[in-house]
Amino acid sequence: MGRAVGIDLGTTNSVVAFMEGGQPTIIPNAEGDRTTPSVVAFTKDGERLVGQLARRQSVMNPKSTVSSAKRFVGRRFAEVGDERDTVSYDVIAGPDDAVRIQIGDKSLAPEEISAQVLRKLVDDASKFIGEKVTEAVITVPAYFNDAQRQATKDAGKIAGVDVLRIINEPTAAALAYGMDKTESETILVFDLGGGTFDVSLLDVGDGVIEVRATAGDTHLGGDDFDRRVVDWLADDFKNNYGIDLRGDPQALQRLYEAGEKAKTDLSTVTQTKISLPFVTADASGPKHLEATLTRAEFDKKTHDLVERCKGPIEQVMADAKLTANDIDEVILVGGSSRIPAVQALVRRLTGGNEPNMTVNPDEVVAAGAAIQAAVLKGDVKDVLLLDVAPLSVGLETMGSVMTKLIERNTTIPARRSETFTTAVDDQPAVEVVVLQGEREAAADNRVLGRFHLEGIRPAPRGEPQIEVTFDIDANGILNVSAKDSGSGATQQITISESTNLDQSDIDRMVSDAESNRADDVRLRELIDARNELDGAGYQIERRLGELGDDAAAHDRARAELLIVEARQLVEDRSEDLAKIKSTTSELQQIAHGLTAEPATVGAPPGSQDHPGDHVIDADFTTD
Amino acid sequence: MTSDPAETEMLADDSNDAEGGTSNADVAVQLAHAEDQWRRTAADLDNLQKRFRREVERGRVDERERILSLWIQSIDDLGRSLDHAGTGGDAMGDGIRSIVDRAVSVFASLGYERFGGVGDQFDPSIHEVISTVPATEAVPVNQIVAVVTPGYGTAEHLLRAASVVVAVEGS
Repeated sequence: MGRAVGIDLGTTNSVVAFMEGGQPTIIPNAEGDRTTPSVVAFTKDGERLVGQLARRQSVMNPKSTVSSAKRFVGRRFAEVGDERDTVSYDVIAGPDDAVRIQIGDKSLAPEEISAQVLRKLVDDASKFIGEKVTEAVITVPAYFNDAQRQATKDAGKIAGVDVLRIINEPTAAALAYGMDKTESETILVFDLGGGTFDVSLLDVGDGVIEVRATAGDTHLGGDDFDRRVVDWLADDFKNNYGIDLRGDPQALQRLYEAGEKAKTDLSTVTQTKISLPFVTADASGPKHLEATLTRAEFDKKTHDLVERCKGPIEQVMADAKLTANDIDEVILVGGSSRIPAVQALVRRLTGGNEPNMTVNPDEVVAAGAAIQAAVLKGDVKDVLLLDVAPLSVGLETMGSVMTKLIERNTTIPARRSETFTTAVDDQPAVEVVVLQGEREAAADNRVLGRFHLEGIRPAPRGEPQIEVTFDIDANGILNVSAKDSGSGATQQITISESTNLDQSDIDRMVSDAESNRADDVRLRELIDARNELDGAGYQIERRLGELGDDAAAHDRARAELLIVEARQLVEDRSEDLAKIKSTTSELQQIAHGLTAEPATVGAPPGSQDHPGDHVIDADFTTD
Repeated sequence: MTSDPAETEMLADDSNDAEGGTSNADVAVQLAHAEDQWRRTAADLDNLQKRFRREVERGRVDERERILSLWIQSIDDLGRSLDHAGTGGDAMGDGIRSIVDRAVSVFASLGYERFGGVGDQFDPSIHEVISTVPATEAVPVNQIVAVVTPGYGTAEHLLRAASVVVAVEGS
């Protein structure tokens, strides 16, 4: 069984997507690009090129390089008079007034060209997914008539793809935003692509999306904006130096690249610099192009283009007998919808609606088509609703801090274990205090429950290994257990209310943690440092006890002094982090000296590595 | 006790279970469903791990290419300046030439060798035509007659196609 994809078969570019892990994913083509030019070329050697490769050779092979085939798909030859003049290849009349494209001595139907693009998208998708793609949902403009839809379907058939359904581009965009799930809404989809402009009004209700009206301009798009910038740059340069850069293919290519980049930049910044050093040369030497374009200036130069978007928006509202106030949502589609002046116009004409554009406007249609494909295949039917832990849970450890075992937003069911140990010698029992919250200090969090684990075999602190396991099941019920590996003693508690918090409580606890983060981090650092100092002092003390008189007298004196100092710092809950750290490191240095000295003593040095290097000292208070 | 609604409900459930046959079959169906769900989830997890390994690698390559692409134009511009800087003995030109060489070797060390030679055959997987000239006996069809900007990379990992002028048939 093959996979199903969603395809946005565009006039200038096409995009393919599939559902992965419940989310639409855009599939990069074999060249690594997320969009594929809808261009097909037939070379003199009989080779067929699709996409970027076809575009790269179009200059040397204009008669056999077909772009914008979508403008001819499913149409009568008599209808396409104007379009014929805009393309470099020959468009002729076929049988029954059908449109045919003349390539050498062959005549091809436009759907055969579209099929080549579909074939490449599907082949590249198969390679990316690692599974054969056999089915697709393909999008078409809302204004496409039956013949154009049928021809698009035929293109799929020619490409060997089973077309699950043909859906409207604006409908796909609404699906990508999950708007099919809304009760009853009116959505305006504004789609300004590379070379075409479409506006649609959709009615959504009960899972059905209906196109109420559609309008547009088949020759308006981002390319027009680029050309304005290029012309401005070239005119300016001609005025200054008397050289027209448009006559030099190399300079023209650089101008277009710079123009497009300036346009893109001005969507995020209000001023951009264009510099093309050594753009040309004359007898007097090399010439550089340097210019600054402000957004205000760009808006002025493209004002009429933006204004051309106005008519179709007003048209769809008039056709649907609606006013701006009736529009609930606005979706932006197409790269040029990123232009601020365009967005301002849309906002103004739709009653100040903040447009949706969180999904990449170049990819939103393909994403929606992929969602539709998954729904038709039943892939999304059995999705398990996954819950997350609303707040972190953990336990109180040495120094009264919270050690988190399961972090907030972990998908549940989840299970985490960690090994802890005792804080004092011969500690017979530990108390497990189960906490919930985001703060570092245990007291700042919520206590969910507590229990004692008793019967721990007498042992120096740090030696017992107590495994604590937190388990949240699918219903949010938290089960905490503790097991002493030495005695085998276990104890556990079940807390069912761990997720029964109001959303407002959760939000408050999370925001408390945010606002106290800096203080909490400092507190945590201090407590960790004190714990480390306490542990280091304890290790030296034990070591001194074991060595007895074998310890060099001056080392012993120094060590004892440091131990007293360390104990004082811990007992006073000192907040002098630098002092705590320096004392700890002095103790650690002494420790090295002490272990190196005695060669004659029975205990092998290895046994001194306290087992707690991989365990966390927990403040399991004694009873 | 019996007045406790929860208890009553429990009893009712028990009696349902006692009916046997159908409810066992229900359980079997549920179990099969649960097993199916579990296998799907385990498979999803496995696929997710594979996918993330792939995506981390792809993300790394994409970011490297994105950053290198931002620098290409500066190197192009330096290269263009050399067209105006004498062919040798000119200290300034020689200095810039060595800067360009170093930059190009950085690209090469990252796997994006500079390419584009006059006389090569045109290949759309690495070359972009920006203009054409008529072919002659000396310069056959499809041959590159000028490299306007060099390309970087290989057909498999192309950072940028070389912009070229190609000889074509006729005028």
